[in-house]
Amino acid sequence: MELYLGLALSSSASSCSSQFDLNCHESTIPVHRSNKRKHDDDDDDHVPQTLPLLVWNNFCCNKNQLNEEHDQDHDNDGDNDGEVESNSIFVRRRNIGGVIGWPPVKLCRRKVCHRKIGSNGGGSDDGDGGGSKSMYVKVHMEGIGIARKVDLNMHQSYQTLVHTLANMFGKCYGDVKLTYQDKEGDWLLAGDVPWGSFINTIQRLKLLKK
Amino acid sequence: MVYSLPEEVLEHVFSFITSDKDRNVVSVVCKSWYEIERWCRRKVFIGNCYAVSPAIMIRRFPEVRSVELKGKPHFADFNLVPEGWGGYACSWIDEMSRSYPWLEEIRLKRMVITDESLELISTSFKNFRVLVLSSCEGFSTDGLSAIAANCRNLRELDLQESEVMDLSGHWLSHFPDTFTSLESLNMSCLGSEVSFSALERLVAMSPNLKTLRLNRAVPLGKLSTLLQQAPQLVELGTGAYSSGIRSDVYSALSKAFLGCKELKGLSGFWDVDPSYLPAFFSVCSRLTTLNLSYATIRSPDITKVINLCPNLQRLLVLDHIEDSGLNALALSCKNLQELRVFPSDMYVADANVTLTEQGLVSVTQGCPKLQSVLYFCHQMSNSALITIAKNRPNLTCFRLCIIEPRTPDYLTHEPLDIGFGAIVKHCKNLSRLSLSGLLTDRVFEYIGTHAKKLDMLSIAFAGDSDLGLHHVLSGCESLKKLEIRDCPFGDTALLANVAKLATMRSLWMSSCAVSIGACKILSRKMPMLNVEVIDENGTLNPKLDNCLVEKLYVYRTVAGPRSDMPGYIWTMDRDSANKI
Repeated sequence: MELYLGLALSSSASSCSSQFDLNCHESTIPVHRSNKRKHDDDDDDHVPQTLPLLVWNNFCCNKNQLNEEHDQDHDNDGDNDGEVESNSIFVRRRNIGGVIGWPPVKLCRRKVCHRKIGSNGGGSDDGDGGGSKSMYVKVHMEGIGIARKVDLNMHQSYQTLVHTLANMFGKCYGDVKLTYQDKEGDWLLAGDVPWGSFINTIQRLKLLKK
Repeated sequence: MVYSLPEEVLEHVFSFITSDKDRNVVSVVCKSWYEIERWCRRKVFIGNCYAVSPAIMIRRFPEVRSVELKGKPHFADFNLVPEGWGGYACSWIDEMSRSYPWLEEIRLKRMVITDESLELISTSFKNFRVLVLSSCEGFSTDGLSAIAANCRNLRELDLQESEVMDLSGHWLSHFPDTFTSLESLNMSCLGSEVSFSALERLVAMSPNLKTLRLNRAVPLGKLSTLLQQAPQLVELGTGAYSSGIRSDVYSALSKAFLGCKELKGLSGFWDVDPSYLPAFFSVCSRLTTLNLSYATIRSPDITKVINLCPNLQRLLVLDHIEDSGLNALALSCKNLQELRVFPSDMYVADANVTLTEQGLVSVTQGCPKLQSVLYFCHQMSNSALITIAKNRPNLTCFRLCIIEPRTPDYLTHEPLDIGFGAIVKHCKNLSRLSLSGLLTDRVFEYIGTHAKKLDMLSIAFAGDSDLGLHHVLSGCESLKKLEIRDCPFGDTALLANVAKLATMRSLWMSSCAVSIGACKILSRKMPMLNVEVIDENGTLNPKLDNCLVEKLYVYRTVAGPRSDMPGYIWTMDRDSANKI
C-alpha cells in the first residue's frame, strides 16, 4: 500500500524531485508512522512499520524489521517492549551500555566531570593502561549505600585523590573530608602523614560530609 | 569606452577586503577581477577539507600565507565518528610544502596530523608563525620538538583540546636560546608534566608572550614564578589550582597576580581548592573572559568571583553555579556576551545542584548584550523559552541541551515545540541552534518558517516523521550545516530536497531511517555530492535497497570521491572497492 502525502510547496521549489510524492521514486521508500504515544494499536494494521530499532523511554518501540538480513545493533537496544517510564531506566544508564555520544560533551570534559575508576576517562574499565601496578581500595561515601574503588597508584598527593573521590560521588572538593582505616584498624583523618606512609598503611577509605 | 582601474590599484583596494565571503563575491565580478583577486588572496578558509583538493587550492591561489582547514564532522567530538574515518592533513601539508614556501599560518580543526607532517612544516616554511591544532590527533611531543627546534619565527602554538601522545616533557627545551618571538602558547591539553625549567626558560625569553595556557600538571607553586617572569600576560590558563595548606604559595601567588596589570582572561582551574581563589581577585575587575568549566567549586564561591568581574564578556562554568550564581551574574555582568554552562554529572540530576531554566531566564533578562548561549540542564518549559526569546531577540547562537532525551515541558508535559518556535521567531539573526527535549514535527515547521539566517542546526531525538526534515531543508535558506542523530527522518524528505544539499557544506544523519536505496538515488542524482555511508558494524547489505544505514555523511565537493576512505565506508564510486 502506498501513501501519498501532499504538501503545499512554494513556487520556488525546483524539479520533480521536490514533490513529496512517494510514487515518484525507484526504490521502495519506507513509510513512517508517527511514533507519538497517542496512536492506537489499530494504526499498525494500515501502515507498514519501518522505524529503526531505537528505544525511547517514552515510546512503544516496534521492532518489526524491514529486512531479515539486516540486524541493526544499536547501543541503545535493551528494554524494548512496551512503554517505559520516563525517568526511570534512561537516567540510570552509565556511558558503557548507554547512549553513545550523549549528552554531547567533549571527551576532555568527560574526563573531568565524570571520572571513572583509575581516571582513564570513560575508556576501559580495568586499569589496562601501560601495565603498571594498580592498588585498588574501597571507598565509601557517608550516606551512600554503594561503595566505589579507586586505584591509589594513580595519585601522588592527597589533593588529587580527594578531588577524584569527590567527583566520583558527585560532590565538591570543599564539601568532603577524607578518612581512612589503617593496618591497625583505626580510623584516621587523611593528610597528617606523608603520602608514602599513607599508602603503606591504608586499608580502606571513607569520605565524610563536612 | 570602458575605463578600468589599473591592476595595482585594484589590488590595493582588494587588500582591505579580508572576509572570505567578500573576497568570494569580488572574485566573480568579472574575469580580470577574478585574476587579480586570486593572486592577492592571502588567507584561505576551507570548512571541509574534502570539499576541495590541495592541488585545486594551490592552482587558484598561488600566494597564500594562511590556511585554515576543518576535517571530521562535528559529531566526531562526541564519539559518533569511528576511528580511521579520515581528515588527514598529510596530503595538504605535503603539497603546501612544495608550493607555498612563504606560508605563515596553519590552522587545523578535527584533523589527523602526524609527527612527519609537523616536521615537514617546521622545515618547509621559513617564515612560519602560527600553528593551531584544535581537537586534532595523530601526533606526539616529538612532532612538537621539531616545531620548537626549527620554527625560528614562531609566534603562536595552540594545541587546543588536541590528543597528543606524551612521549617526553622535554620538547619545550628544543626552543633555541635565540628564540624570542613567542606570543601565544596553549598546551592545556597535555596530559603529563613538561620540564618546568624548560618552561620557565621559555617564558623568560619571550617578552612578547601574551597568552599562556598551562596544563594540569603544572603545580600552583610554580605559577607565581611564571607570572613574575611574564607580568605582561593578557590570557592565562592555570594548571591545577590547589596546593595543600601552604601560606607561602598563597602569598606568592597573590603578589604575582597583583603584578599582572594586563590580564583579561583566565582559564584552567583544575582541582580547585576554594581557599586559593582570592589570590586572583585583584585581576577580576579587568577580566573579560573567565573559564571555570573545570572548577568543581560551589555556587557561593563562584558567585563571589562573579561579583568582582563587572566587565565579564564571556563566562564558561559548570552547573555548580546554580540559579543563584546565574542571578548574581545577571546583576553584575552587564557586558556579558557569551555564556556556557556545562554539566557536572552527565546522567543523574544531582540533588545538590539546583540549576534550572530559571537561571538562564535571569541571565537573558539581566544581560542585554548576551548573544551566545550553551546551556546544559535537566528541565525546561515552553514559558521559559518564550520569555528567553522575548528577552533576548539579539541571540545569534542558542544551544540548549536538556540532558535526558525527549524530556517534555516539565510544567505542562507538552512538547517544547512552541518554546523553540518562539526562539526562532524572535531571534531573527539566529545563526546556530541546537535542539533538545520532546519535539514533534511542529518545531521544524516553525524553524523552516522563521529561521532564515540559520547556518547550523543540531537535532537529536526529535521529530515524528519525514515532514520534520522536509520543513528544515525546504525552509532554512541559509542552512549550511545540518547534523541529526536518532530521529525518524528518512528517504522521503532527503530525496525531496536533493538540490538543497548542494547549497550546504554538509549533512550528517546517524541512527535515522535512511535506506541504502535512497543513498544510491541521491548519489546518482547529485554527482557534485559525496554520499558516504558508514557501516561500522559490517551489517549493511548494499544490494538490499531498503536496508537502513547506520550513519550517513553527505557533502558537496569539487574534488570527487576521496581516496582515503576506510573499509567501513560505502559510496557510489565505481573505482573504489566498496561500491553500492
